[in-house]
Amino acid sequence: MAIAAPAAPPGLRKKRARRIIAVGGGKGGIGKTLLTANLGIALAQRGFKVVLVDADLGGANLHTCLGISQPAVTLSDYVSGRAKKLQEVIIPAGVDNLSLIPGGRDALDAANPKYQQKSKLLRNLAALEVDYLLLDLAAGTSLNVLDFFLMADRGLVVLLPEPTSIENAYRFIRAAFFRRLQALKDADGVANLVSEAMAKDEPALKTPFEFVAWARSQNPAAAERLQQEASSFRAGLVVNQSRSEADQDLGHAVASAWKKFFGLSLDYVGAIGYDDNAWRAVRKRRPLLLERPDCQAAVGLLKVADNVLALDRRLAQVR
Amino acid sequence: MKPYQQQNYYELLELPTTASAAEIHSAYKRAMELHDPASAAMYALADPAQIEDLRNLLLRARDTLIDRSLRADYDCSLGLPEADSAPQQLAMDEILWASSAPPPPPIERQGSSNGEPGAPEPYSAPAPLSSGTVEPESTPLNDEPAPLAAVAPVPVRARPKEIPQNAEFNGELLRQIRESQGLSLVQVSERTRISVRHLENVEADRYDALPATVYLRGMVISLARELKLDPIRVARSYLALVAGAPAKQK
Repeated sequence: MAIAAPAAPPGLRKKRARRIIAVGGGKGGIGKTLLTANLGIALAQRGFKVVLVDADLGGANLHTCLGISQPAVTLSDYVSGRAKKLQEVIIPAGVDNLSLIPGGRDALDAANPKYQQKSKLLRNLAALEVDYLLLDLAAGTSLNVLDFFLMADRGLVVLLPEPTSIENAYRFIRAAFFRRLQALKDADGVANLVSEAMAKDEPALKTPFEFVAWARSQNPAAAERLQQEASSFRAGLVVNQSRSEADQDLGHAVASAWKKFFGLSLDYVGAIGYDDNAWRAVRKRRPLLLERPDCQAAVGLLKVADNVLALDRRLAQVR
Repeated sequence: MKPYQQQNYYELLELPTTASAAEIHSAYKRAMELHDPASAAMYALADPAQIEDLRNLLLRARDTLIDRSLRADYDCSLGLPEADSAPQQLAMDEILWASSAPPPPPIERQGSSNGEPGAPEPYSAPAPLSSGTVEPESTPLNDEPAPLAAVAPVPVRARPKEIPQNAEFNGELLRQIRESQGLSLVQVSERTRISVRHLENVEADRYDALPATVYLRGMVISLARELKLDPIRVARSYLALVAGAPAKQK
């Protein structure tokens, strides 16, 4: 395990968080915060140094989920400049190896940081010397949310086994994908194609498949680049509140449908069973993994953590 | 990554090209479950006609791949090496595939651009056969085989006669090829089990009179196979003509 390697000479120490995981999904109330908090705990319990970030600047409640009362300093203080250093807003989260950067309270101006503030924030978050940085994102597909999602090494999308939630997850990933394409400024013609396509907003361009096919007719070289982007883009998928075996299968079905009909890969990383213990724990303001580590939902959460680690090992081997 | 319409049968079933008949059956069953028209996963991604289309292709994929000779032809059309030596060629023997546990597919790397050849594989999922784009994180958790991104360009079995590389396979060309091989419509019909009427319509490019694309595709593939042409190429070419024709029925 790669924690707290004190012996490493300063020059060789990694200059950034080893892995950044963002937890998003189109909709509110689907368990993003539950997943972030408990995934963080699971990773911390395995010995990784973890910092949780409540990136939901407008409606922060990660601290509540962890049983921490309203913190004195928050990410808003940092974004607004009241706190000079990111370290000043990091607080212990009540579990060994786990810290929290709480979200702001009611600081509406900070909920929509300016571009420069945001990129500074993203840069400094990424520079934290931890094993895992977990970002709990706000609902919706605003650019701030998408940019946090895209800065992560691994984006996890949470969905509930119901059509509305699935549709939202689909919109979310689509929006994230196109946002990423917009950021491609280096390749000739790519940016033009993207903005042209976005301006058109034709239903015929609604999937990466269709978009790449269209791009090929406009500018084959740029289309090749887009194709690469589509192949390399991947998000993880977590099904929350699954109630049946069919619901657990839903993750596979969604991943497969995306591959066949949409053109992006999803890694299905697990299902969290519907469990009364989950909301009981929230009501008690205790993280589920600490409150009821043996309950069905907790087992699902641990499995998600294992699968995320497995994906990371796989990634590390390939590199 | 390709849309399902462009995926080959192995890609559609998410199988390595070395899959056994038992694996083909279970992959088919699994794919049909996953792509159930009633599944919420399809919501907002595919319309019912597309799902039906996919399911028809999956069925065709299974039926082709579990039939030893059809599969051999198909593999050949993909440019895959002859599979006669594959140990798990159980093909059509239903009893065999139903009763025996499938052996793990031998992992066959064509161009191991990623990783040392001796490196231990962390997952049981079969390695991609692809030599094309490397997808490092390819679905390690689902025990899914990685998709066949791009089959290595093994030269396809020599094509007969003077068909230009970029030939457009319209009905007229298909007729000429058939006649040059001394085959009558009735003979072809007997061997492909496509009715003479359909064959005539294909050769006469009477697109309006042809069946729906899903069925037409199968017909053209069978016909091309019979004429020892590249079935995929012919089907693609012919269906493009059909799709481009005005007032065509879907």
